[in-house]
Parts: sequence; C-alpha cells; structure tokens
Amino acid sequence: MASTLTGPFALVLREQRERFNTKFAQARRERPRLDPEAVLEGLRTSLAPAVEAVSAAAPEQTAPAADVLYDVLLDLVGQDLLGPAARYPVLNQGWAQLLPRLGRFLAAAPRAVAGSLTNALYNLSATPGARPEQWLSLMAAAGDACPDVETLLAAGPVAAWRAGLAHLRAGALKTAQTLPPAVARAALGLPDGSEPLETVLAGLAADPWWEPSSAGPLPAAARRIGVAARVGAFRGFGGLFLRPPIVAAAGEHFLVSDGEDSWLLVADVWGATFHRAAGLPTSRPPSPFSLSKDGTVKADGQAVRLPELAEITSHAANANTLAVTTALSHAVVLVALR
Amino acid sequence: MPKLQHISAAPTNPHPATPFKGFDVAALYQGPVADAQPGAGPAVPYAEKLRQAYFWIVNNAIISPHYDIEYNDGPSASFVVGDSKARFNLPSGQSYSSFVLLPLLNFAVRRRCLLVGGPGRGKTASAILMGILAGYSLRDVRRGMQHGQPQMTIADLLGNPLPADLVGAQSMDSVRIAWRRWLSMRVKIVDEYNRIPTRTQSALLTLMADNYAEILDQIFEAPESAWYLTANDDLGGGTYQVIEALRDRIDVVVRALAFNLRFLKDLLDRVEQGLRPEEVMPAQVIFSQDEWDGLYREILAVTLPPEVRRRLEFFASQFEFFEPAAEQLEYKTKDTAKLAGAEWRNLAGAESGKDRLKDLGAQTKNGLSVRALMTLLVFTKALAYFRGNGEVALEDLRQIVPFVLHDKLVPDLDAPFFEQPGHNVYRADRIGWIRKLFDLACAEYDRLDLDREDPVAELQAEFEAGLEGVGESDVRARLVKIERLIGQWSGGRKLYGHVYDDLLKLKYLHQRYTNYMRWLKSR
Repeated sequence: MASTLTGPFALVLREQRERFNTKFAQARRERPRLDPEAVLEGLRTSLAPAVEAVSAAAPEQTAPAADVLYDVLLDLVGQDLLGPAARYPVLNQGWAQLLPRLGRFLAAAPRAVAGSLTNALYNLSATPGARPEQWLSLMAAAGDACPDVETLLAAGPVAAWRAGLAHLRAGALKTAQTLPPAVARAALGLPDGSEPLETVLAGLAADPWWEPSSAGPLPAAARRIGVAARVGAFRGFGGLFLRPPIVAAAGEHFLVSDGEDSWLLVADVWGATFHRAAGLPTSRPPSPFSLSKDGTVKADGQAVRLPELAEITSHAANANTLAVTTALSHAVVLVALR
Repeated sequence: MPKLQHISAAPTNPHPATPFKGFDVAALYQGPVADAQPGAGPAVPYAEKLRQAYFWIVNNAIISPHYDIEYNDGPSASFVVGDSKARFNLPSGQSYSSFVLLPLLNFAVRRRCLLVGGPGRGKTASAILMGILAGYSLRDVRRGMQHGQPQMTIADLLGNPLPADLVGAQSMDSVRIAWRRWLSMRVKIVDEYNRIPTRTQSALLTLMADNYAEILDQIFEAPESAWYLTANDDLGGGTYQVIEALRDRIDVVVRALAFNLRFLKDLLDRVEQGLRPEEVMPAQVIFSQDEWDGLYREILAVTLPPEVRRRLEFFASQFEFFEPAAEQLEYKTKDTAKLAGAEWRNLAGAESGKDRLKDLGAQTKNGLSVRALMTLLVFTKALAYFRGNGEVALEDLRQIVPFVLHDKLVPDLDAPFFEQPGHNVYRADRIGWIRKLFDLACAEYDRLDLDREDPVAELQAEFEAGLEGVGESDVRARLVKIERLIGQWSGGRKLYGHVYDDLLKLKYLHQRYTNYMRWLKSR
C-alpha cells in the first residue's frame, strides 16, 4: 500500500501494515463496494498530507493520529464521500487543503477535528445555496488565529453562517461574542482595519440584511426598498417545490408550502435555508411592510413598485422582511430595506 | 470506523416531523462521521438509543432475519402460500424480530425472560449481549452466567459461608458469607435453568421473585435486574421438572427461530474472519445505571388510553370464569376447580347451554393472574416506547400478548375450538393461538359495539366522579339503574367471562352505593 508514499506517513504504513490491511478488510465487509483503488487514492491525496502535518506539529502523535484518521477515511471512502468517487468533491478539498493547515489541532484530537470539519463540509455541501469553498478559506484563516481545538471548532458555525447557513445566525452571533476577536473576524471574513468587532456584531444582530463589508450600518432614512433575495426553485430544477409555493409568517422566519410539504424558510444577507416543518403555528408579527395587488411595496414612508411581484399568490412579513410568492414562479421573493 | 462499530443513524424509526424546536449550532458537526465529538451533540434520547441497540444487534450480532412482530403503515401486500393456505405478509411498517426485541424490552423493563429453542440457536449469545448492553465486560458476563446442571447446589448458586467463620463463630450472625458476584449484577443469566435440581430452584425462586438470597440467616439484597433464562425444551425436556412457582415468575417467553440457510454466507464470513460481535459492541448503545433507570421511568410514563385498556379488560376477562366450578357467582372460577383438584374434563363437560366455540374461556384451563396482567401492561408500554410513541396503540398490545401469555395461558386441547378445520395448528403454535384468541376477543368486542355502548363503563364513570354532594334520591336512582341492568341480563342471557366480570363490577358498585346510602341516612 505504501509503495508510492514517502515520509513519516509511509513509515507508519510500513510499521502498521497488517493492522491497516485488516482494518480495510473489515471495512470492506461492512461496505462490499469499498474500492481498494479509491482507498489508495485517498491515502495519497487526503490522508498523507494530514498525517504529514501532524508529524510536523507533534511527531510523537503521528502513528496514533494516522490510525484514527485512517478509520475516518475508510468510513468516508466507503460512503463515496471521499476519494475519486466523492459525491461532494469539496470534501476532498477539505482533506487536501484545510486539514494540512491544522496539524497541531489534528495531533491533539484527530477524530474530533477531522470528523467535525468533514461533517460541517458535508452539511454545507448538502445545503442548496451554501458556499462550502468559502467556509474552507474562512476556516483556514481562523485556524491560524486559534489557540486550541475548542476555539477552532467554535469558529466553525460562525464561518458556516457567513458561508450561507442562515439558520445558524442566532447561535453564531452568540458564539462570535465569546471568540477571540482575531478568530471571530477571520471566521466572519472581515477585512483587517474594518469597523470594531462589537460594532459589526451589533449591526448584524440589528438587521439581518446588513452587509458588514459596507461602511457601517446605514441610518434608517437612507435604506431603500429592494429585492434582497429570490430563494427556492421547482423540484425539477433541483429545488424543493412541486408547485409554486405560498408563504406565511412564522415568528422571525417564514413558513413555505407547496401543498405537499411545508418548510421553514430562514434567510438573511448571507444565505437562505429551508427546513422541513410540520405543525408549526403561523403568526402575524408587526411589520413596516405593506403590499398592493400591483406589486407596490410600502415601508417607512417609501413606495416602490416591483414588476416581478405580479400575480401575487401570497405574502407575509416580519420586522425586516417581506416574503412574496407569485403564480409565475417557484421562487419566494424576499424584499427588504437595505 | 471499524465495521462492527457501526450503529444505525438516528432516527431509526422516523415519525412525522416533530414540532420545530429551534436551531443548534452543534448540528453543524453532526454528519457522516459518526461520533466525531462524543458528548458534544445533543444527548441521544433513551428510546433512540434502545432502537440503535436493537438495530446493531440484528445487523451485526444475531443473524436472525425474522420479522414476526409485524406493523403496517397503510395497506400491505399479503399472499397465501402452501397447502395450509398460510398467510404471508409483507408489512408496510417497521417490523421486528421477536427474538431480539423481546429480550431487549426485558432489559429495559428489568423483568424475567425465558429464551427457548433447540441447542445452538443463539439463546445464550442473545442473553450475553444483554449483559454487555448493561455495561459489563464480556469476561464478567461469562463469569456471572449460571450454568444449570444436575449437581448444582444452593452454595454454587448463591455463595458459601467462610470456612474460618464456620469454625470460630459463636452465633449464626457472625458467620460471614462469600456471596457470588453475579448476585449484584444488573443482568442475570441462568443457562439451561431446567437442569437445576428442585431444591436449588427454590433458592433461585426467592432471588428472582423477591430479589434477595439467604444462607445461614444471612441476607443478600440483590439489585433490580433483568433476568435471562434459557431452556432447550421448556415443556419438560429438562433434567428436572421446573417448579410451577418458578415458571410463574417468568414474564416473557421468546422462541429462538430456525436459522435461515440463505444467510449461511454471513455465518461463513464470521467463521473465516473470527468475528465475535459480542466483543465489539459500540459504546454508544451501552446503558449506564442512570440511563437504565431513566429508560425504565420513561417507559412507565407511556400512557395506556382507555379504549385500549378496555380491549385488554375484555380480552382478559374471558378466561377465569368457569360456571360449573361453584354455586356462588364469585367462586365460579377455574381457580376454584383447580384448588379443589376436581377432574377438569368432567367439569368442563358439565357446561351446557353455551356455545363453547364462541366462548373463548372454553379454550383455556386457567385464567390470568394479576402478575401476568401487570407484566402485560409493562411490556406493552415498553413496545410502544420502543416504537417512539408516548401512548400505547392497540397493535402494540396485540403484538405483545402472545409472548407474555405464552406460559401463562394453558390451552384445553379438548376444547371444540381445536377440532375446527384449520385449527389443529394451534395445538402446537402457542404464539399463533394466543394472537388468534386476542383477535377473536377484539372481533367480539366490536360486535358488541362496546366502544360506544358500554353501560357498565357509564356507571363506573358516574361512580368515579365522586359521591360528594350526591343526594339520597340520586343514589336510589343509580341503584335502580344497576338493578335494572342486571335484570335485563338475567333474562336468559348466557354467561361469558366478560359478563361475569361486569356482573361482579355491578355488584361492587351496588354495594358501594348501598353503604353510602346507609351513611346518608345515619346523618
């Protein structure tokens, strides 16, 4: 197995050859389609860089970490999540590019770090509209500033929120306040020298549609009504809905139904996610928005006609967002003051 | 993850979407790499853990691909096969193997399970897995397992007085006993219990029934335990006759079904690779003492809705009533006949006027004990809990009844029911017979429309509302109502078990109202 590899990992493979071969045989019994070539490829491109990084950070941890990471690799290759047949190629990227930058963390807790980061990448990849590649680069930057594994893993959800998992917003905002500022800034992708972290977090907490890269939160009078996002699509095109959906308010989020199923829609400036929901009560929270039949949206003394809101089938609003569905589209149009 | 360590992903029995409870950032790290951060994610509910244990056992440990506990979600495919026109179902809901599920439920409700079946069918292996599930090492489970054999003494079973104390002791109190370690285990296994000599069986009975052991006036209080007994032949094939009291303490009986030879390759793999699943049970499915206690508490909290309870009452009331046993109604029971040592056949033959085919009570030689009913309630709740429900469904009761009553209901094989065409099979198939009994009871319950028209239940509800403020005239009206109802029934109506129970209940109510009336008058 180790013929094409050199370095500390190759040494581990040579010393543990029987053990690793037995593990492979056992894994293959569990997953008969486990391809030895794919495992070899995974060893070369995914596992070797990670183990080399461990070896560089803590040489005495090389063998134990390799043993643990090999188990994880077998499990992932067996599920077609790593290796040449990976369903989400970004997982290969994570192992080849992110893990080698996290050698000291892998040495301390190989399964927790590799497993958790892989799971996070998987969840990002499986969420339509999320940006796993962005999460990789945010985490690589955050990793450089992290003092320990605990902080690294705490930074993950903050970076995931920034990379499109809008439903993590509340938890991530809370976590960001507890992280070292340099880590939080890196996880949120804030450029050096931009506004203080407290200001940014306060702005994000106050308005889900505020983009921190702009020059501070806008005063209320300067915000303009506009389409903030179009989310959801026809199932035939990879979306969720069988029919053009209708929408209702559900607290600070929205409930969307296509007549067959219902989802909770969570959206903000960085993304929108849908979550299956049943039995969730609808509500009518206070809102500044009102909508006319011709697609005119009124809020804060402004009135804007949005032509794409023709043939409205449903609309709902909360304090920050107006959600509208039309007979002509499977998307939910989100209107906000920005 | 090493292969045998794989456990089924939650939810193992998906239910319709549960109410939204908010988002947790920890969910980001839940995914295909299982147990990436042990203890970091939300704690797995006990019911889910129990199901994961079940699926780990059926997928990795016991090659028993039988799904004899069938559940349907909507319509299911059903076929008729063979000359016997046996019905073969393809259940549309998640169904289970009784050989794995029942021992697991027994573990959860800490009762006494008997595993029966031919040699080498995995009975002992199944019991060992339950010991490991309780957190014991394989070595401890094996050392704690008692092997029934004809020379087994009470000392072998319970322990020995310390020899030095025996020589020097001035009183019995000062003789210390070296109790056997297995007595303090949460899972107790007695292999081939029907090979234990009768005298030793009595010591075992005390331990099983009352949770204590006694030697030379010294008492050992054993903790609550889940018991597993195995027997190659439960019907008298052991070396010793099992004493009836011991048999009566067994709460649930599980049959080891035959090995399906289409699964020989799995067996071959296991042999070739030297795989021993019991050595690698994943830590995630092992229950600590606290978890085990919590599991039991949650099971007891499962509710039994009145409509299901009524079905159970109706079913169970069929069996004890035995008209020829006595003159006074209260004593007209099979227990009276049994205690008198009366010839069963003669007495049964004396029953006249009733349709013995319709009378379900005619199929058994005994009724159900209070202990059997309590066991039935607990296991039914456990099955509902295992399926992820907070309330018992009728099908849960239907599925559990045969296993709990397997050794509790003794069939009268001379009853006309067994002579009916196609019913001969029930002479051997105890599980099928009891399930048939339950179905027949339910059909009769439906025919009588007792869900909607149950005058006794109405009278009971009226009484349970309390007597506070009920005046003399009301009490008199209720007494008349009871008497009128009994009067209607007495006019030529045949007496069946459920009517017998209703009559005694009416008598009870009548007596309570009569006493209350006397009290009212005395004020």
